[in-house]
Amino acid sequence: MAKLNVSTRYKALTRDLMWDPKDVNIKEIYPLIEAEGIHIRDPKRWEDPFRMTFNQYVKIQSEKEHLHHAIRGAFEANHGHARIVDSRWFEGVKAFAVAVQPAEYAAHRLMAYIGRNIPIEAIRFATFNQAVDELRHAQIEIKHYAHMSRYYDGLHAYSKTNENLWFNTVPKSFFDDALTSGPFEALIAISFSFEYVFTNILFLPFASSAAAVGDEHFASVGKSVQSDESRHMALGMAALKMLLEEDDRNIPIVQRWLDKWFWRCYRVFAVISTLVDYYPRIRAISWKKAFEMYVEDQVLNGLFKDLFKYGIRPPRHFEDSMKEKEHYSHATMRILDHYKHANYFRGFRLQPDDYDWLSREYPNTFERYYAPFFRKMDDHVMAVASPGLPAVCAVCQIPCEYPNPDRPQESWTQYVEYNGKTHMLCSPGCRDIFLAEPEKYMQWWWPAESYLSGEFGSSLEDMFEYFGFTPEEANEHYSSRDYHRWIRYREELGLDKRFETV
Amino acid sequence: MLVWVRVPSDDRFLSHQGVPAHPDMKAQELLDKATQMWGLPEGKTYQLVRLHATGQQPVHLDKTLQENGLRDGDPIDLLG
Repeated sequence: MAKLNVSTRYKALTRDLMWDPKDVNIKEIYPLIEAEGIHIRDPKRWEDPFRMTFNQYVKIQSEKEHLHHAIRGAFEANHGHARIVDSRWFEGVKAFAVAVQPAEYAAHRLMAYIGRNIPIEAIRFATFNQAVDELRHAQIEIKHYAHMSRYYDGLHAYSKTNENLWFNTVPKSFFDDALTSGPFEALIAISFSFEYVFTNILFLPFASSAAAVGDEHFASVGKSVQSDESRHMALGMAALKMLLEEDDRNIPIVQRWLDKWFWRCYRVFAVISTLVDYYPRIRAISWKKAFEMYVEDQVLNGLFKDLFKYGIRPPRHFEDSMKEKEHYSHATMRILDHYKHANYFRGFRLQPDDYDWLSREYPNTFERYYAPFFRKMDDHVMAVASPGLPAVCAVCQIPCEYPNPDRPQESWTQYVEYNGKTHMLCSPGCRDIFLAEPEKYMQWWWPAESYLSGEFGSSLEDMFEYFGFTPEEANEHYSSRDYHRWIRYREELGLDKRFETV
Repeated sequence: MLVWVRVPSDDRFLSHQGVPAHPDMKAQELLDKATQMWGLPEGKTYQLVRLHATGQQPVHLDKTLQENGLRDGDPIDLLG
């Protein structure tokens, strides 16, 4: 028999492997397939853009793993954590730990859910690969946190913190939202809106910042993960085009999902803006410039022009995200500073070079609207600690504290009456998502309410026990024991010495 | 019940903060609790305003929260 060419071989290994059920109705096996109103006429036309067989997948991923773990091993063996330019960076890495790693694991489950519920072979293979990718991401990130936990606070009861900390309700509510959507909506939510539109801005600036401050391990995490994301992005684009080309009746449904998930994804990335603009002492790029490059130019002004021929317009509220780029990281950092006494990653007192950089990168907004707030901490790092626990957005779960970008002195908080209750939303984008599915969002759980009602115990200590860390692991970085340990560690290695050259 | 109080004049904290309350308490009691929580100057006159989707509604300090129509989870502004 003649040797098969690549595409024929791929087809032989991945197509026509299932049977048509005779004993049960196919709708009983795939109960969600018609629930969303999507029409698919000829699913066999659709191709997974990467077309990898399992052995090809394993070979490529194995090479990535070997390369990454070699870097990790060298970083750990050579005290890499002590060689970065400023230990406050690790507070940002801690934020990444609870914001992103659970999202990776949730994405692993989500891909399995999509593959299970959409009976299209190409999607099944692509989502299978991606499910394994997401598990790999979660695990290489956890290995970094395990190493950090030998030297730094906040991560020693990682699974408990993941489960219970208020901060983590933001990514958890996002993925729970996607997991309770239909499979096609989940595919658009994650593969297109999350992966195609936003993962570049998640992993590339953060990995570049890691490299800039000397965290070679986390730079490798970011680059290794992003090498998979390019495949996930291609899946997102292919899935979107398939739905648009299969049947015109799909177009308004897809548009609705794009409107919702653009803003949902944009908001879940809020903390990333602080990891780009605030936590690195040496910045690779600003959030504003990264947003312009990766989202405005590539997606909103690029891709969506191509989608116009299908009748697809840019997502609703995308203009709000463009206006908010001047405010986003500052307003989000302000929120983190309010609650740093109850969080497992610390805020920090801005240094003179921080003020210089932020003023230069954000000449229209930082000095005028935000620097006065951060300067309140010059005399006392807890001067801006919130007196209580905040009301959060009923959709994104972030405290309702964003300013209206058109009138920054005013709050952007929206109030909606539904089912005998006033619900608060952080922005018009989240308000419209709430109004489209109020029954879904009115049931979200926010731990502040449980704490205030005494559900976790009667004292602050009880709340920290529930969170999985202690009050000493919170607050401000430069006055923390983490910072002083890092300084001592550097002294022991001789890294504090300055050598003069004559 | 829990109400969410914001002090717009305080430029440190811009969000509503949870304040445990009960329907039978006088609005003045809630006001006192909130002024203490925020550390607002004593001896000044403050008022509470309930926020809802279509606008604002003054809260009468001599009436209970229930008599003012306040419900669990309502957002309130403390003005001074």
